[in-house]
Amino acid sequence: MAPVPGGSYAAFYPVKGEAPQPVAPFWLDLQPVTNAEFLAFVREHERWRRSRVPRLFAEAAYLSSWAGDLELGPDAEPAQPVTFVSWFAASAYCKSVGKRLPTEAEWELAANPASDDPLALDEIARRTLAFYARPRGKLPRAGDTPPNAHGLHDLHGVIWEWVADWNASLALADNRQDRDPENDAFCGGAAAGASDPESYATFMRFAFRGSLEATYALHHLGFRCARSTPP
Amino acid sequence: MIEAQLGVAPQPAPPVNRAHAAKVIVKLEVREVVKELADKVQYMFWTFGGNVPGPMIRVRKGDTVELHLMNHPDNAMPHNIDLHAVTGPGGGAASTFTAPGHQTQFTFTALNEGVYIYHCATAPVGMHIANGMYGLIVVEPESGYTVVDREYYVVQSEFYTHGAFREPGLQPFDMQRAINEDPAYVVFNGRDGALIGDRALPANVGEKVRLFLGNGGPNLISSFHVIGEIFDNVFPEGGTVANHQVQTTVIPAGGSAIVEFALQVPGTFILVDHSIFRAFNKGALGMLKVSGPENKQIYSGLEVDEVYLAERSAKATEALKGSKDGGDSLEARMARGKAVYMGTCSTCHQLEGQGLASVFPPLAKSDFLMADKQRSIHTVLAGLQGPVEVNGQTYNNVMPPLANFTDHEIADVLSFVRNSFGNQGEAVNDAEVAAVRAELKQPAAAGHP
Amino acid sequence: MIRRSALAVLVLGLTHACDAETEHAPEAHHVHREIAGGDMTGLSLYQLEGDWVAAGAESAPLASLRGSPVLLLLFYGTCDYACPLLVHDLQRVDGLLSATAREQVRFALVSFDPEHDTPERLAAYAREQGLAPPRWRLLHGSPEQVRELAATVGVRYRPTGTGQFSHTMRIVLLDRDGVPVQHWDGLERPLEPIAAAVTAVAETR
Repeated sequence: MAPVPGGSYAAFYPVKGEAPQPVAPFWLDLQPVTNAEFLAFVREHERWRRSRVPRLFAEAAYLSSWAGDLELGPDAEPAQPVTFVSWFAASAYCKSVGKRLPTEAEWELAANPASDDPLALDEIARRTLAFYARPRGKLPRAGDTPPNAHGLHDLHGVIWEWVADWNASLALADNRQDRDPENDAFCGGAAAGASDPESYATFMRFAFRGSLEATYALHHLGFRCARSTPP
Repeated sequence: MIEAQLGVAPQPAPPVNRAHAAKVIVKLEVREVVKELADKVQYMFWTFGGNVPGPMIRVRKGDTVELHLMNHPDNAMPHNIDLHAVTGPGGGAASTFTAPGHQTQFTFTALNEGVYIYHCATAPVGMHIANGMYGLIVVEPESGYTVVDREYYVVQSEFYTHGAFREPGLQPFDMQRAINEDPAYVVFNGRDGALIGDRALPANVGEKVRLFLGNGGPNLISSFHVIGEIFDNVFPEGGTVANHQVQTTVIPAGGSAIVEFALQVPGTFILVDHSIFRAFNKGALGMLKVSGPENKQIYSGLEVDEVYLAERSAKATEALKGSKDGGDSLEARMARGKAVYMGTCSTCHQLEGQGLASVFPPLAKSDFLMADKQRSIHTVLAGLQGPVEVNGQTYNNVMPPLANFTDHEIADVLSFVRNSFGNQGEAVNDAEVAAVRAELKQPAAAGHP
Repeated sequence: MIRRSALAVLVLGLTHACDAETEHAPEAHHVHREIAGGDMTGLSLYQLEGDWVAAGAESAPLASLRGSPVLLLLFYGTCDYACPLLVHDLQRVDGLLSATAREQVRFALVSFDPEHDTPERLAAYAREQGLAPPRWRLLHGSPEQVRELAATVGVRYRPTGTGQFSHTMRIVLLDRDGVPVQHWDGLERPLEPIAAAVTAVAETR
């Protein structure tokens, strides 16, 4: 894990009147949780095995890239990030190792280190967009991409990652209505527009979170864990 | 309940052919797929149905449409759909937000007839559209469209890549270019060359053709024109009011049009966006290849191709006026021939016979000219093209035939060049020219222009 | 605005979510997989663990609601707009129920704001609004528990930083096994369908 300094997080889709929130320093896994690590977890915690998990906690595609309950098989290398895991499963894993999922604020702060250098931020955006332009090849091994300013790998352009409060994202299905703060799909108003409409990479991340349900187990969605205190 | 038959561009969906409203099931699958944007150029397209544009949906006014949207599990992005034919929130976008590996469904009544764009409206919307997520839904009027012989489905759109037009390799989406409205590609049916060569749209003389046209944008308006044709009917913006006798019609971004025209002559008719640099430098060019019998009255083809002297012709005529007399001595021929040379030949071969390096061969001390007198007469009468070597240099250009000069004038000018500019050789006489002309089966000269 | 036009779709989505995946499995997943579950009991909210506490501060695990049809609402005490209206809607639904249904149904209200809405505050709120136990149960859990419960019923919420929350306005009906059978979103919708749905659950044994 690596320490991430605290800071102030301004939400990408703030609701009316929402001010930036302070984020305390925290610790974050250097890379996503791997197939090997998750296998060890389900060995010990039977209810999270593919054939046992209740539908409430994971949809039918849960761990569908694995060959069996306790067998990775050719489509899931031990060192690759684990995907096809639901939010409940990800939370349970983190809890089992004395950690938790990062919040959206923590994740975004870790993934977008403050920088005086506009080129550095452009570079992140460019790399992310370039990733989405490439054909969906095999997932790289976790930790394979160069670390960012906090020493963290794989935050952009490898997989989407669960956060603890993914359902705090009130991006609407049809984001062209985003500019309407009186929109009453949500009590308290929906997001009053994105704070940075030119950040396409961020848009994609938030649109993705907005499309999720907690049970979803998707091909390109994995996770990593966080802690509030040093490991 | 009817399952809709979709049309994969350039083929339209078939006419509805139904006298009553019905419930129609439409299934669209979103696929993110790498395909060619141009030869040797790849792009990650986000598509409805694996192609750009997405399939044509065709229903009847009053139909109840149950739309299923599937997002393939291998995709990385969530998607939804906004159909401009839908009356309701987001045109359906609010009800079809779909994560990869999932599917959604909603139902709407097609209240209005017309030709409508549909597109993905997931944030960031510009990017989803720019990557190819659009197509047409046609809502036929209750009585349907008039029957024509041929229908095609063509959608114009732009692509914004880091690389230049036709720069090879996998090209990523360039967000800044999209914001600047500076596309590298403006194309029909999702790629450079989609409607060219063996992918051209076939048709026959005598047929009535209807084109269902869309403009997926994301940014540019199209000025749609078919070179060599006039649209008998245009339904601008896919609406119900017909315009007639139109050369070029505007298709708004996120809009449509129907054009209809009858084919009277054969040939290749080029579809373009008449913002013309897009056609020639960005790919907004397609072909309609029409076969069948010619009709010379409507279109004759090339009738005349001659030299045009413009202001030099006045000099040549004057020079010739002065040299009508003199007889056939070399001296007389040289004088008259010089006038012809200066008035005509010098245009290319230049005033000292030096030619133009790499373009027009010299006549001065020319080995090619002097080697074969018959050949030089033939060249003036019939022209010359293809590579020739003159004084050790290769030239490959076109010399037009000058058969409209009389035998007398040709003999004069050849006598002149064969004895000028450092050349020394036999003169040429009228009879020699006449003999070559007879061999070429050319009619006697009509006289020069 | 997500309103009536979305209701049918959302209901469809919820009740069909499970089956749709297995139907399309062969096409959608090119990797081999064993299909796990599909049986309704796997969807019971009572599989959620956690120490919930009722307004009177006694322990009240979610599973203690098993056996009754339940109308579930996520709200918060200082909400001055939608939540009071939604609570009022629930009370009016109560008035429309058959005698059998009224006897069996339980109303579970869970606060987004456990820090502010302590068990004592919840008890006071219940008194003010006339939400009497045992039929009305106002529940207090940790922030993680609330986030988890909201996730199971598709409710999104976010603190605005001023003590207020922006949240999905949703009423969820659970059957006797704690399985969500239907939900209704937004305000100003007809209440008869909700009452009818509750009655239907109450009258099937």
